[in-house]
Amino acid sequence: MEQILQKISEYVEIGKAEKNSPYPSDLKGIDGASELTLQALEMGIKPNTILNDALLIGMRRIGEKFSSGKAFIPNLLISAKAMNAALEHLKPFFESGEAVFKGKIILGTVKGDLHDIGKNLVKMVMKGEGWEVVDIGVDVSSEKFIDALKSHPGAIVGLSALLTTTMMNMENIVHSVKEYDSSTKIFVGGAPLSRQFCDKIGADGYFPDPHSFAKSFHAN
Amino acid sequence: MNYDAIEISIPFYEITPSTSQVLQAMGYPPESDNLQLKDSIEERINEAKLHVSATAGFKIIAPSDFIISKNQFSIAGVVFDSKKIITSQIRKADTIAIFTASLGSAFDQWSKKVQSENILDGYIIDTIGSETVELAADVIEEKINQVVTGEDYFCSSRFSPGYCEWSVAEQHKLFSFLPKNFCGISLTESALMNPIKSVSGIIGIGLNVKKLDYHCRICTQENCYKKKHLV
Repeated sequence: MEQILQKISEYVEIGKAEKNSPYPSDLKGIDGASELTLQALEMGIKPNTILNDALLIGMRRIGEKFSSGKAFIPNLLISAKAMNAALEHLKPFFESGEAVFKGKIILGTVKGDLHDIGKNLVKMVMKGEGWEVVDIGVDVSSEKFIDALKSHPGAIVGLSALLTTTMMNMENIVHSVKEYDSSTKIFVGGAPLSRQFCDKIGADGYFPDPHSFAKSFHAN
Repeated sequence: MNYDAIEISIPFYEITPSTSQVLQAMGYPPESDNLQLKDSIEERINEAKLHVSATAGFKIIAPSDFIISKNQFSIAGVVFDSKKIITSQIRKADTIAIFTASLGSAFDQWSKKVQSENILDGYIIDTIGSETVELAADVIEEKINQVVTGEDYFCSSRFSPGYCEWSVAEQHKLFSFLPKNFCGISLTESALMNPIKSVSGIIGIGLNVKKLDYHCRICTQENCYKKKHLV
């Protein structure tokens, strides 16, 4: 059992998603994270064990490499793609409650801003980390964030902005969401932001990249 | 000197970024040998030529309309709070050129479409776009250089709202001196340029202007494009 879990984690780390993935070229034609996950389920390994002892281990390893400057955003995305290919097989177990998501996050680029690449990177990495992600798009108003919270109570909220002008709209959204439900945790990110700005607008956390955001939940 | 707005089309082959340039923009070291990414980048660069319709342009402001002080400059009485880093670099300018460059809206549409299907390819295309539009800005900067050198003037480096502590909100004032829809660019209320892969800015022009290094080390902007390239 340990051997297959180790292989899955290794393939998530290097981004070997499926048998027919062309990369890494020396593993072409060999079962990837997706096929191995299916085999692990067939062997009777519990979905949560596959998730926690294989898939998330692989994601954490690539995340550590990212933190130490040995891997970059594309590496995170390649790993997350392999992770997501494997997660497809776990979907029914998430639905039945046999496997559980780490949590739910509502993600949106704030009102006035149309940039979505940063939000999409966070989305991919968080999905790869075992989170359920509700993407509500770009140019998102306070009302839309609150509507999403009504549909997904208990979710945390992630706000993205790329401009110094649009990051100012975060303050209004943070206040409105906190007014709706003061227990909702709100996290902010985007190139012009800083921890000081996050504190000033009353958000619960600022992260400069998707991995540090995902990592902040590892201890929980 | 000609003070009319000038707009040119730039063929993609003049502004095609190299694979290693795109890899470096993603953070990889120059010697990086990531085959998977290299193949994907090359493939997407080849596709980009079908989606890039680059235009760039500039307008030189009449020197009589231009005034510069310690932290600000003004054009025809409109004051720009460009902050010290920029004004220190163009202090000796007799005037400025306002420039823009854009890859066109088809590139944005392609980028969005791919992003919705495959975030890795979307990220690669977004990075290709960022590098390509900077190369388009290089072309227009060189064009301005050629124009002013013929008149025995010199150029500063280029500076854009949103960088070097100059507020991006001032982009509205800058665009008010350009013809409407110049280079196909429009501004949203929050000063976002549409198409997204567009750049705008100013270049100082004068008899005693020098092109100096960017003052990245004293700038407070942590995640700046220029600072990233400096590392």
